Amino acid sequence: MAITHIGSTLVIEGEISGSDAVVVQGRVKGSIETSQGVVIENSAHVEANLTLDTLEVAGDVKGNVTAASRVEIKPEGKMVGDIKAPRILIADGAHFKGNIDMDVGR
Amino acid sequence: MAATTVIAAGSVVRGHLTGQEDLLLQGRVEGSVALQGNLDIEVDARADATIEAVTVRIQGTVVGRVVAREGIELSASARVRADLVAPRLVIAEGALFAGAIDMSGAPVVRPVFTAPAPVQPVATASPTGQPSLAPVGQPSLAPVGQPSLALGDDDDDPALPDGVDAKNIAFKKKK
Repeated sequence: MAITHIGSTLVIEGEISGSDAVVVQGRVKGSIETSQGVVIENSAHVEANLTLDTLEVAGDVKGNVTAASRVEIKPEGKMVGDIKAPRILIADGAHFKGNIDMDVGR
Repeated sequence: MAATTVIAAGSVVRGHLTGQEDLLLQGRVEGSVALQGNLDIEVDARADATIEAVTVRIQGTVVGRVVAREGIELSASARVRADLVAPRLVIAEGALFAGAIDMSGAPVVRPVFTAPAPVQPVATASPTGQPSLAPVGQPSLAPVGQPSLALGDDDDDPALPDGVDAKNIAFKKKK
C-alpha cells in the first residue's frame, strides 16, 4: 500500500487528499482527506481538518477530526479540536482539548 | 538530508509546499513547490505548479514553471508544458516539451523578462550581396522567459495556480 510521507522539513499550506495512507513528520496547514489511515508523528505540527479512516497522533494537532473507524492520541500527542469517531483512545500522558462525538450513526 | 517526502500515486496536494529535503512525486501536486532538495517526478505523476528545487528530474507530466539551481532532466516519458530555468538541462529523445528555456545561469528567481544577452551580429547573405546584420543587443529570437506558444499567455484563469494558464488544456487533449 502506498504511503504519502511528509518529511520533517516539509511545510504544506493547502490540502492533501486521496486514497493513500499519510504519515506526517513536518507541518501541514489546511486539510487532509483520505480513505486510509493518517499518522501524525512526534515532530509534526498539523493545523488542519482531518477526514480519514484512522488517526494516530503523536505530535501536535489543531483541528477537527472525522474518522471512519478510530482515533488514537499517544502519550506524547497533543490535540486541540473536536473528534468524531466510533472508537477513541486517549493514552495516559496525552493532551486533549475539545469535544468528542462517538455516535457517528452507523 | 536523509529525509525524503513521498507523495504517493493516490494522493493529491493542492497548495504550497516548501522544504529542505528531497521530494518524490508519484501522485499530483497543484500549486507551488519550493525545495532545498531534489525533486523527482515519476512516470504517472503530474505537477501543475511553479517549482523551485536544486535538481528536477521529470518522467511524468509538468505544467507551469520549473526553476532548478543545478539542473533539469526530462526523461523520454516526460510530458512538459512549462518554462524551464536551469544552468544544465537534459531533454531525452521521446520527451514532449513546449515552453521557454533559460540556461543563462543568472541566479534569478523569477525572470519573467530577463535582460537579453548581447547577441553577436549574424551575417546573412541578402539578395543584394550585402550582409545584413542583426542589431546588436536585440535578440533575434523570441525573448527568453516568454513562452513561444501559439496559445495565449493569459494567466487569468482563477481555477489554476499562479504561473499555470490555459496552456494545459491543449496538453490534456494530447494525452
